[in-house]
Amino acid sequence: MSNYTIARRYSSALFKAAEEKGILAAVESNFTQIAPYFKSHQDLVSILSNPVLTGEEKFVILKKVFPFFDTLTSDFFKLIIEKKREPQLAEIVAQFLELADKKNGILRATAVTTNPLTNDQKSELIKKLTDMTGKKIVLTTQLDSEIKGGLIVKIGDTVYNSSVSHRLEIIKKRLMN
Amino acid sequence: MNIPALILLEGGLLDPHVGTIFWVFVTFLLLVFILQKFAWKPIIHALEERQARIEESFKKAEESNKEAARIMAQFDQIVAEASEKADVIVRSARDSAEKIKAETLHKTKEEADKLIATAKAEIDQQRNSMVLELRQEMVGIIISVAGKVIETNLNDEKNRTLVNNAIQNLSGK
Repeated sequence: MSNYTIARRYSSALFKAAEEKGILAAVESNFTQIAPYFKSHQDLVSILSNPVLTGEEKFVILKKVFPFFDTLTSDFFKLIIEKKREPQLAEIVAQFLELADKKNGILRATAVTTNPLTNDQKSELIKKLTDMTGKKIVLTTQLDSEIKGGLIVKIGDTVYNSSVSHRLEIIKKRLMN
Repeated sequence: MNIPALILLEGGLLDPHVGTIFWVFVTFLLLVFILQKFAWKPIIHALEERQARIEESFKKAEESNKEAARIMAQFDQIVAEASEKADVIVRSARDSAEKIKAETLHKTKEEADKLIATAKAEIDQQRNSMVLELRQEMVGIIISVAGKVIETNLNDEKNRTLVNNAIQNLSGK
């Protein structure tokens, strides 16, 4: 079974349980706080995947790193450790958040620019994307001088690329052939 | 006593004497009889045999001659045939040599043509790839220069307009 399928099963099970208990918002807020750690702290991922540490030790570490667990989240982590699915934890958290977003009608978008977007630009962009998708947009901004100017918007699997570097690339391709 | 004296004395040998004539005649007839009895037949027989042998020899010689002529004719024919055959062989050898020559020439020409065509194609391909490479290199340089120019000229104000336009055009996509 692929990591994706495993994560899909665990995340949807947890999602249903949280929904039944009416604590979806609490678990979601926990996971929203946890999720960035898996991306920024690779050592945390390797500790969780380390076969030398016992399950209890791993649980203690998780508790220390994330002291804000509710009972359900805490039990869920115990289950994950028991079933030795720690390596998939990051993927499970990510998929849980995707499920929560879907339920809340939220679409996450990323805007890449060379200079920070002004507040006017941000609200204009959110308005545009909301009109286009009919969903609530949560916008993340990102700076990248490599794009040389203009804007890249990533939303779901779609990328709207109107950066200067992309336009140059198109011209280059046209000139090459 | 010498002979003329005797002839003269006894009346001579030339004098006809009946008794002598008679005995000579008898002796002669006896001789003829004896000869006829014992000598003539074998002699004639021998002569006839000889004649027959000679005639046979002639016939044989004639036959030999004929045979020789026949063999000669046969020989001539064989020689003629052989010469004809030799002619045919030589002609066919010459023909096949000509054919091989023509074929070889043709094949060689074909191969040469093919080689030339291949070489031409290769040259064309290399030239094209060189042109393409050069073009790509030039385009790369142009684009990177253009990028630098844009980076230099694109101030914050202009970039803001660019971003605003991009936002406005989003729904259009």
